Amino acid sequence: MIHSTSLEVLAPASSIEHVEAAINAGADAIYIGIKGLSARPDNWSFSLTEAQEIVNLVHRSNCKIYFAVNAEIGEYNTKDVQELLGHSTCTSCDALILSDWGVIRLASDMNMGVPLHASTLLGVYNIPTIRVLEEMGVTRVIFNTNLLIHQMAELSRSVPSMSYEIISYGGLCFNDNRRCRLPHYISNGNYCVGCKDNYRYVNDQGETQTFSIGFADIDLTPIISQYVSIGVSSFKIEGRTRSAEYISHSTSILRKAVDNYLASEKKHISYYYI
Amino acid sequence: MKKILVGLQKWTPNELEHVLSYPNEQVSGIILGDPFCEYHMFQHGDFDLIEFAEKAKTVGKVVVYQTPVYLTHPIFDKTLSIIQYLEKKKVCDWILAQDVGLIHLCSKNKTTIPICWSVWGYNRSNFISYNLVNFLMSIGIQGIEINNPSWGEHVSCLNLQVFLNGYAPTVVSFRQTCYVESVYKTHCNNGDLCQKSMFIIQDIRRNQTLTINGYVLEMNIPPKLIQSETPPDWYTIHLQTSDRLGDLLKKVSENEPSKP
Repeated sequence: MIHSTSLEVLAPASSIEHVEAAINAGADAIYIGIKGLSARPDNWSFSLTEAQEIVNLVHRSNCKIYFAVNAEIGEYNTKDVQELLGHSTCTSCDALILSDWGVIRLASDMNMGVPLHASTLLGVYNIPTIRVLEEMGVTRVIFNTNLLIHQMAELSRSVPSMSYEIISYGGLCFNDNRRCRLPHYISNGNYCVGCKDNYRYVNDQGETQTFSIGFADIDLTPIISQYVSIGVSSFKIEGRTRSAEYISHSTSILRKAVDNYLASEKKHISYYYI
Repeated sequence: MKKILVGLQKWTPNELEHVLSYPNEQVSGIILGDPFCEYHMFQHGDFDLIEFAEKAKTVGKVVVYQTPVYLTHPIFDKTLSIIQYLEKKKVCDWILAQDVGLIHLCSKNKTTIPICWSVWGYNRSNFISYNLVNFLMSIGIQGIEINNPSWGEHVSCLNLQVFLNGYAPTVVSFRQTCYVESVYKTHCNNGDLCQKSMFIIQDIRRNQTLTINGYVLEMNIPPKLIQSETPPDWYTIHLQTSDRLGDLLKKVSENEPSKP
């Protein structure tokens, strides 16, 4: 059964301008990174004081706000995570996106009253893993970018009590996003990844071939219905490090696609009941 | 004396015979199972896995089964069947796993073979925290594989067997879809393509060379030998072939830390 009325357009933000752009373009929810604990550099993340302002702004617009705590967690930054989870700003957000099993257990034990989302970086591939997450109180799984659509369908069909999210617009990791060590760097003010660089291969005949091993940006908007049909309810835009114009544009496109889908579904239901 | 476990990129009857010919004091056991590909490591797939495990046990070696990284269905079910069969035949001593669902299910009721958290389970920097280790212990691991020796002392205090990943290729990246198939835009034909096509690519921007090795991108440089002040319970070494095993064993024993 598709509960499509609860479909969500989830936009990224790394500045107030981003947040405003996303809200104005029709985002249902916004995700941000917290300085020191985000998978993006600190200048694209917020301090807890700044995050509280964002929470207030987003809530005033009847949107939701999620905090991404998806940096690599070692013993050196565990204390920062504990402080974040115990902070009042953290409990005022609408969900935490977590990418580390230890942090999920910690947040689960703290019983914070904030929904927990399993990040795409966690690497969830099968039903027993989703069951473990469910036991720990996680309410949403963000599908790993390595999964194929039929594999996602099997997971969502088997554990329908979980909600599912997918990266549907923007950059998509071609490699295993949790464990890829291709360089991630800043170039001309933009955040770049090594898989989008050009590589050179010389074959046995001495012919040179130049190629990129990464994907170009993806746009799932033309096939959103397929993902809704397999149980995806949240459509995320990648791009915390991009411009406000990009966020406005991508959110509008995704909003339109979701609204079109909902309108067509409504039409279908009304025909059904005539 | 280190208890050394040897993994090879491809196991053949000849390679197995060569590795098993080393006395148990030098090679304590072998690691069988490719984390990514069902065609890459064995010519006859899981049949070879079982047969080689049996052979290793007959000469008193420890057998470790490395489970696949991408445990989507039906690979998950197949892996579980292999584990249960290995247990029934009494030919496996440890399971190396990195999938939380598999570990949880196995430790609950599917096998009594002890499970070790594998290095494939970490994030890109191989960071460890006590929160992570405690979580993994709560789902049933009894060992932990590390490639940062400084963690050996910390985890051994937690009553976990420590496997130090002492010699292995520098993996840069990997994914669920084979790189070789992607580049050639064709099916690997049960490993035929992969057998002849380990190719080198060059990162133009950084002038680095990488090896595309099936599902894995590796740095095209020889691995470094990782030593530890605190002797681990197990020391794992991964090689392309067993040709260099003798030299490597010599190096490892030369660098053996003195017992306190």
